[in-house]
Amino acid sequence: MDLILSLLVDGICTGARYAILGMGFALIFNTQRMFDLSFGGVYTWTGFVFWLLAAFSGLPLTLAAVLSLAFCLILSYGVQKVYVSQLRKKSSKSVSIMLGSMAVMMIMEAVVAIIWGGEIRVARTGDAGIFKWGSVQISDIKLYTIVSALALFLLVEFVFMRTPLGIKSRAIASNPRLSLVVGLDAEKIVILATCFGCALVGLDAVLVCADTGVYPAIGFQSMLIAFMAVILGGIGSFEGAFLGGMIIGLVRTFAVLRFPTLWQELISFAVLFFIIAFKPNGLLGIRDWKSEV
Amino acid sequence: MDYMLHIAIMILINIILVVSFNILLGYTGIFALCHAAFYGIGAYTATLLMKNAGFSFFSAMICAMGLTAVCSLIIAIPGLRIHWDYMVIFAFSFQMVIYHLILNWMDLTRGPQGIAGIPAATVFGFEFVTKPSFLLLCMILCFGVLYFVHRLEKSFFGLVLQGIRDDQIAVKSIGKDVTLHKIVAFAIAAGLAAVAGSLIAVYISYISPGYFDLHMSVFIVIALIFGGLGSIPGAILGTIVLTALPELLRFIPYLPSTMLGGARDLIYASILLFFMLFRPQGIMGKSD
Repeated sequence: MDLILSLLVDGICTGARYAILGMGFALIFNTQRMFDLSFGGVYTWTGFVFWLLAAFSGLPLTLAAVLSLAFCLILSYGVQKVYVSQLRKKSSKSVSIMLGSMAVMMIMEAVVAIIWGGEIRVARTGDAGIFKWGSVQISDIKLYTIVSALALFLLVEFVFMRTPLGIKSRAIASNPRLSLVVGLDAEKIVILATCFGCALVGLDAVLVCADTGVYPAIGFQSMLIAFMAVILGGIGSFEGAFLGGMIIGLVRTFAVLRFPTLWQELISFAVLFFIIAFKPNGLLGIRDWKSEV
Repeated sequence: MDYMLHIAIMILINIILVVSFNILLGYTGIFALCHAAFYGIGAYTATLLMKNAGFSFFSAMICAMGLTAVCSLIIAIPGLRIHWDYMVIFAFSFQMVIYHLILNWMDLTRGPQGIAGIPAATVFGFEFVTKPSFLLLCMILCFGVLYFVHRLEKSFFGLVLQGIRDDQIAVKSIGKDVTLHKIVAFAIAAGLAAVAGSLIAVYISYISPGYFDLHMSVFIVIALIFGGLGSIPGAILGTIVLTALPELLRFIPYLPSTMLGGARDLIYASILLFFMLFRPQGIMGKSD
């Protein structure tokens, strides 16, 4: 029983991480309707900048986190302005956007690997604070992860359902041409929404860097998880992305009961594989994704 | 000299891979980022048949082609029912499932240790052990594959595939079964990838999961985009340049070996980004 309970807490922590990632990618994908993968590179860079600020130059963790999130926003804005909007101008095909943004991500990760090498970097130097509650214990970073996932979920829901920016970006997502007709600056709103999504992803990078550490290829790994969360939850839905991330986190954690830990990755990809094969719209998906023929 | 022969052999094996991927992306317009998975299934099938069941090289290769083609149905049949964008992720997850299966199925594949001591290719009593003789074998198979794909491109079946790429509703309207053609294209491409898999297994006589990861799939895509989609000379050119380019890095003095992997990725990614921005159809490509 104790094992189940502590696995449940662990699963919720992992699920909260994946839910943040999923919501970030959902923001990017739902507004652009393209597989813009460059946020994987932003993830790696945010994690490494946080590590540099916190462990290398010894700033307090909170200040370092705020600074690296600011860096994350600037970097994602730059990437969007310099590369992705250029790619969008050259070709409207989603395969070119996907490959081009994947190239951007690979370049960013390769630069990190060349400068700082491939080791795992952890920002935290001291001991983790532990909260105890009966037989269950939880480290403070994990608690922050759960709290921030819930807070971000409410924030994203509020911004995208109530504020003008959110309503505009949903308009662009549902009908790009019509929103041009009514005079929306699609380019600007898409970039803003993407930066917002990148900031969520960057927050996850900061949390991971403080807890278990970052390495150059982590952006790619996180991109895959964000992908899974969005597909499982259903494209076009933020609640779905949150739910999808939670489910993947819980499934991966509870899979340890039956399977060796090595099989975790295989199980999560198998889940993705079967979801797409049998229920391509996901759990809460609203868009119809049947083949054209 | 040995080193040059090694590069030549690797180029020939990669040409088989890139040309077979060209059937999918270049002719049919299906973007499936999982070609390294087919390559891996082919390599492991051929290896296990030769090592444990005592098959000869050619019979193992033909069985590997058959099994890989059957495996391609797992992804082709459900994958082609869904929207194009979903197909991309579907293929992506197939690649990851196969990679982790190879990595973790210890009893069959020996996991990350890989399988060593694969017997050399023997055809009619002649053993292709030395590098020059193996180069000859690769050349024969590579030319065979190139000739087959060339004939396919000009055949009626190939024309239907190219029609599907350009306008699948038009193809459907003249009474062609689009899904069936796509499934067959998948099976052919996967089967040809198994040829390359069998060759790499007997050439290095050791295989491990690292050869068949996502990086390999990305390499195949970049080589094809560099040369140009839907063009056989383009695929050959792209493979030669992209296989030879990272080898040049070895000749740069004072470059620490830890940076080699990062530098290689940087070169590949920059090439991909450059082509996506300035010449999406590649050097010799016809279609956009």
